[in-house]
Amino acid sequence: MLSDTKSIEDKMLDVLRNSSELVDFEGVYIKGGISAAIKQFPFVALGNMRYREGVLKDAGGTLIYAVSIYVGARNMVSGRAFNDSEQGKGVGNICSAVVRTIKNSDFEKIFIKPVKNIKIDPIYMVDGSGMICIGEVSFEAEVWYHNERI
Amino acid sequence: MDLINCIYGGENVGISCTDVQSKTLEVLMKSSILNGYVSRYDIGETGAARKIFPYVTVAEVTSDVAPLCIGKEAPCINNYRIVVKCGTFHLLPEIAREGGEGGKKGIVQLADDVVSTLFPCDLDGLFSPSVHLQQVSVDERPESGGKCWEATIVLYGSCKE
Repeated sequence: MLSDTKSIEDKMLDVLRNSSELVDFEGVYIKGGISAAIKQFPFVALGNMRYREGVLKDAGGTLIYAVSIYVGARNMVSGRAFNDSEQGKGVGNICSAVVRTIKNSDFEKIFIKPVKNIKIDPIYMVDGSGMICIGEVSFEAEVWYHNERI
Repeated sequence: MDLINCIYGGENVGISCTDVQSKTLEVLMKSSILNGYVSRYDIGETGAARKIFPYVTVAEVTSDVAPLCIGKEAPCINNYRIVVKCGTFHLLPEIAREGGEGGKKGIVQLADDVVSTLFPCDLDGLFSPSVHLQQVSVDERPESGGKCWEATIVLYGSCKE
C-alpha cells in the first residue's frame, strides 16, 4: 500500500487522546468528522483526511495530507458553548489546546516535516439556538511513500 | 467539427477519453489487491455501480488540448483528468468507514488501495512518466446515515501528440 491512511488516523487520535494539553478535557475522541460525533458532546473529532501528491520521484515521493480536527461543545445557556463554564471547557479553549498539541507533537514521526498551514476557526459552526458551537483546527502534513513498482 | 472532436476525444486527439477510461478500468481490474474484495468494477457515475458494494468505478474522464504552436499539424499537449470513485456499505458506519474484523476493508483502505494501483503509474504507457494525484477524499454519502461511504480519487495526466 502506498500510504496507510488508517494507521495515520489512529496515531493522530492517540496523540490527541494522550496530550497533556487536553488532560482536563472530559469528552469523546472520535474519527469520521462531525457527523460521527454530533450526538456526543463535548467531542474532539478527527475529520476525513484528504491527500494529494507532493513530490514525485522515481523511487518514491511525498503525499500531502490535509487534516481537519473538529471540536464541539454544548451549553444549555445560549451563546455560552464557546467559553468555559461550570458545564465544562468551551470550544475556544479546547481549540487552543489542540493547536498547542499539534505544534508540540512529532506525531510519532509519521510526518517527515513539521506540520504547516495550521489554521484555527473556533466558530466554524454555531447552531440556531446558540447552544452548540463547533470549532475547526486544520493543518497540512507530509508523509513519505516508497514506489513499490521499483 | 474539429473542435468538437478535440473536446469529446474524437480522431484529432491522440487518445480518446473513452480509451483512457477503459485503460484505467483495465489497470484497476488487474490489481490483485483490489480483486481480493471488490465486488464490482464499472464505468460511469456511481449510480450505475453502487448497488453492489464494495465497488470501484471510473466515473469520468475529461480532456483539454493545448496546441504548442500555430499550424495545421501543430503539436499539442493533451491533458486528461480522471475521476475514480469507490464505495462501501455496512449497517455499522464505523465498519463501512474503517473496516472490521475478518479482514473486511472500509472506504479508507479501499481508497488507499485504488491510489496504490493507479499512482505512480503510466497506465500501460499512456502517460509518461506517470499520472499525477490531484486529490483523494473520503465522505459519507448524503442521507445514508453513515452506512454508505464514498471516496473520490482525482488524477491527471498529459501526453504530447
